[in-house]
Amino acid sequence: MQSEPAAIEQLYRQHSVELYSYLARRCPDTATAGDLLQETFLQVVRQTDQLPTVTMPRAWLFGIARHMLARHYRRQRDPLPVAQTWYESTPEPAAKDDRLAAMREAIRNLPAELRDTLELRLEQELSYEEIAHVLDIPLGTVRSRLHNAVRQLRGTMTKPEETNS
Amino acid sequence: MKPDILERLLMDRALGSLNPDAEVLLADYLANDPAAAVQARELQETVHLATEVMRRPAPVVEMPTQIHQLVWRRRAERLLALAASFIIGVGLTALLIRANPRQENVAAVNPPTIAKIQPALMKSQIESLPFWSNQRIYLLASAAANSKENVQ
Repeated sequence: MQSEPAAIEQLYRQHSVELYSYLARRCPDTATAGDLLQETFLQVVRQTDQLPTVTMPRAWLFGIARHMLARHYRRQRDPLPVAQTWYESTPEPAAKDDRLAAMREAIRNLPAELRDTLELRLEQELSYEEIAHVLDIPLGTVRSRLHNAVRQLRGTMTKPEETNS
Repeated sequence: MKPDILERLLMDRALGSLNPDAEVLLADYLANDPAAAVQARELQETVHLATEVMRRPAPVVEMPTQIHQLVWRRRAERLLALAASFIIGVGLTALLIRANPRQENVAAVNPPTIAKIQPALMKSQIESLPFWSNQRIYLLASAAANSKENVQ
């Protein structure tokens, strides 16, 4: 069996980069993302008693990170929706491809809960079960949110083609 | 196949969450249903585009020392908590002993009478007392002293 600090270090080595990436896309600056990553792992260190019972460590970590992010925005009294910052501030590399630009716009216009769920699947590649764990919702809700999101995106993407033709 | 079931399967397939067995069966089905195959392609294309928009190379982050600090800080906190519990425990025990000194005083005031008790009676009395009680220790000491005197 692994010792406690070794287990935490392993979690850090395996997941800190993707967690940082997840947080950085949702924070106004990288320093805040770094702080939130540290707060996430501080929370992990505080909850080390739970480590042996954690069945989905990745989902568990994302759940904590998400909680830290929500707490940060609550404290700031900033109603900025999660992920809004990234979509607003990222320069437009997709300008080369009109469809990518349209997709970016379509994703930005998705309801927050659908976008959030879709991001966990496509951006972080979490499984349905892991997403259910992170968002603390039933598996069926994860599936229906993802399907709704894809349906809406497809609807938006096919509209211009229809009007063009 | 019902359209809504087909759509659900195609969605899960596009999202990369269909189990391999179902995927094989669905591929067979799509080979014989061109309309469904078009729908499948559109969904795949939508998810592919969305993925391309959402995924960016993850920034590199290096904070190896900070995690060590966190772990050691937590360990120090635990040690402090243990030490505090120990000190509180010892303090409470001392207070209880001070607040209830009667039994020790009785033993101290009446040593001769206890010492004069017959050995058989003393043995039964010792055995009836709690193992760590002061009175038991005192009686054991008295019994030892008596036996020494008898030998002399």
